[in-house]
Amino acid sequence: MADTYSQPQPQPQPQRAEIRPEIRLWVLGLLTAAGLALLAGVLWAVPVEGVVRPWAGVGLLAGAGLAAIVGVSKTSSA
Amino acid sequence: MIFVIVPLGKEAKDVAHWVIRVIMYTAASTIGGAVLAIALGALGRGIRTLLPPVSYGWVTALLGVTALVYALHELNIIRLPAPQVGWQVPKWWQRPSRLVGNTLYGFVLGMGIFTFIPFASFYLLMMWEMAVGAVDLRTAAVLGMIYGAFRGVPAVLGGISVLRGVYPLPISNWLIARLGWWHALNALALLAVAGLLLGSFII
Repeated sequence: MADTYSQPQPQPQPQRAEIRPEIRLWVLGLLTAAGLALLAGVLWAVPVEGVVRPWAGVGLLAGAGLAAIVGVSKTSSA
Repeated sequence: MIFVIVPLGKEAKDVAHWVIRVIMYTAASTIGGAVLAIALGALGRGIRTLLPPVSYGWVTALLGVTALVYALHELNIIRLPAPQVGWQVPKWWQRPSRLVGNTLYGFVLGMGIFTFIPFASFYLLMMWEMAVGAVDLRTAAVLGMIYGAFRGVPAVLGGISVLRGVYPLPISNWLIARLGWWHALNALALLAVAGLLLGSFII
């Protein structure tokens, strides 16, 4: 019972890891770019009538762009 | 991979041999991409006949959600399964002739499923080819061909670089050292695609 009212021992505060400014900038930049990319995609969808068809029109164009980016990324990074 | 196909000299004969090899590599890679896309498309067509009919809107939404979650995977925010064989094309394929070896490399690498899959966007591309193939196999083949052809582009650029007197090893090393940038590029592409597909589904 006495332990219940005893003074709590101060816990050592975990030290915050220092984040290097260039890493913070990279993360912030990437997150901003990610948000903008998502927004660009949504804005691209606005003039499309109905749901995008993956096999035609804008949908096919997006698929083709994705195929090109994956293709060039795979060879360039190996 | 770029260095397997670079010119071995700058004489007209060496350049001619390189041009033939790079054309064969890129053509085989394009065909390999198309073959896989047709196979996936046929699978998609089979699934479509087996399952009860669903509106294409749900397929679009499924692709959109996949794009979104794999974008988060590329950004290292979440971890998703990334199954892959991770096989490396054998060097001995070049023994009979460099032309045969490069052509075989192109075909296998163009298919993309037998070797390493470093980018999650490839999984979305395979799903996309399945979905497209369920409607039209030729369009799925076109997507595969675009993928395969773009696999050949760095080899062409590397060869041109050698012919201009700039050995591409430092450039290649620079690109490989910036793997994070490639992942970022793929993540941004996936996010844009997710925005398009989900946006059209929701709006």
